[in-house]
Amino acid sequence: MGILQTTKGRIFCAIFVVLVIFAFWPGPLGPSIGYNIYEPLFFGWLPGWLFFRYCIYYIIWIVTLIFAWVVVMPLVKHKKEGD
Amino acid sequence: METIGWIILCGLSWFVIKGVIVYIAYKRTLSTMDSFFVAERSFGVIVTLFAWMGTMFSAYMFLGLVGMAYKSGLGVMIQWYIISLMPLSFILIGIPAWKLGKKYGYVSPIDLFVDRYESKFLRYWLAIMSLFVCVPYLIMQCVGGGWVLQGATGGQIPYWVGVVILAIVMACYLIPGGFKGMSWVDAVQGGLLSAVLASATIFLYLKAGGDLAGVTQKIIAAKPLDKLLTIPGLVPVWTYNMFIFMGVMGFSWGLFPQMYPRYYAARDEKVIVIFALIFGLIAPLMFFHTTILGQITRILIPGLTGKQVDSVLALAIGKFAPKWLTGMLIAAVFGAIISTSGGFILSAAALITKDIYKPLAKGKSEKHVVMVGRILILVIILISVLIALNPPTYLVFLGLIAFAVGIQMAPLMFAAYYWPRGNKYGAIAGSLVGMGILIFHLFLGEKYLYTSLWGIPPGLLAFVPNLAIFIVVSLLTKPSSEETIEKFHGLLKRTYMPKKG
Repeated sequence: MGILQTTKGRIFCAIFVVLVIFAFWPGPLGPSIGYNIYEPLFFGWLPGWLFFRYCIYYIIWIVTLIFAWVVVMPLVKHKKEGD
Repeated sequence: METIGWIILCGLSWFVIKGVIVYIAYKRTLSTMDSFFVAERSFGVIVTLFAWMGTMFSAYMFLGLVGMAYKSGLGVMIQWYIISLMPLSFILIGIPAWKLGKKYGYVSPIDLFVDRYESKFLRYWLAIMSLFVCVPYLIMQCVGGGWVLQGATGGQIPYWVGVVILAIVMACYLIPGGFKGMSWVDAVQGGLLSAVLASATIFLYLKAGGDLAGVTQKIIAAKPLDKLLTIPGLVPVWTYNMFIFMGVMGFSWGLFPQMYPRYYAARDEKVIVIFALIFGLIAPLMFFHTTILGQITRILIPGLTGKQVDSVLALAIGKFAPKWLTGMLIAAVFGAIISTSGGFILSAAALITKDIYKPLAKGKSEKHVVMVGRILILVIILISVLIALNPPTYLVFLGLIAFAVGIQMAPLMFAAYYWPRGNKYGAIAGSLVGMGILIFHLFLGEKYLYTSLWGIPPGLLAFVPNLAIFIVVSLLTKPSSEETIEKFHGLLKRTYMPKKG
């Protein structure tokens, strides 16, 4: 499909891959926060590893939003072939 | 009034409200497959979003995940790993699926892949794989329904009665209303369900002292329970390999068979994009909520083991919440369970009706085929209930089986949109190997459904050779015909490539 054949589309996909690996890999090859550790406790109850991942989740969401806005929406707004 | 009285009152009220909605949907549903299974491709963002939320936020969410959080700890939140990739998956898969569905009139995912890969064998093979995804989920919902009623009434309503009531209600509102009825009901109940569950959470939170920091300190003090706050967890489930498996599954989710009716039913591609983004924004809040409930119930009802773990939320509500709230909550959770089941039952019925029955019953009218679809809904419900009456140990195991099978379809499904060189030989060889590895693990026993060789989840262990074989065999054998490539990839490329100048 065309979306992944555009330069912008490919750049965004590369960003997603890097973000996802960086954000969620729980060991020595990425952020090791949280592997058998719960400190620091944010607000006295939210383990640091979880807080970190909650923030990253929404960063990924914002990148998805930009991807949808910049790459996808202009393509689906075109008059479609075959319609 | 006693708890059981409130449950019956609230449940009947819900049933009547849903009945009215389903009746309206029934009157507006034509006797065509397009109308019954994909609602004439007319849904906007709100109905699409709530219909999907109704399918996703289910017994697995409110019972399986709360139970898992109770057992293994906050590591359950790595489910975010799945959700974070879902919006992207919905966009990249949903848009081409919608386009092809609208252009060629598909109502089930298999139609599309049979045409794309030019293989009749794939019709039956993918139907079987899809049922492996849908049926465990259905059983999970039926089991959840039984436990909810039993737990909240302190055993006054036995487990089997809960399962049977669930089946009757499902049949009453799915058979007449089809996809339209189910989605409208979901849209109406989604908001109410969230409000009732939030009330119950706040109540349990206050019952636990109104202090999450205090709950956390109690958990830390009760070593080794402090591992509940870490990954891989008290029961070390959330390992490196599980993270990778979750990532593959997250991206594959948009390819799962139950997603296709949602794509096909959308009014246009923008509906899919906006729905995916709104879903991504609000979904973690629901996961957060259920995981925190797992921690709170650990303090309120300590020491549960085995099957009791999955009913911990119902037990806590029955024990601590006021009776009227218990009634409302049980009715709402029951509604969520029915919504989830409905999504899977309709997907399964569409698969069998369109992909297996219709090709065998040539010359039959659309009305006849829709009638067969309705009968199949009843048959699927009955089979699920029979299995649910003797359930397996943990709800989450059933979910893992469904997920593991689901990702075996991912390579051939993704390639159908993005890799013209993929062909039927690769698709069949890869998926056969993937399923073979999974079935082997089923025979090895429950322990191996979590982790297999080198601690790798079996779903992932099967996915890697599946993908490799799909690529290698496709490259070594004859590609699909030029007409087919043009029909699929040509159309998508012309439609979704930016216009130069």
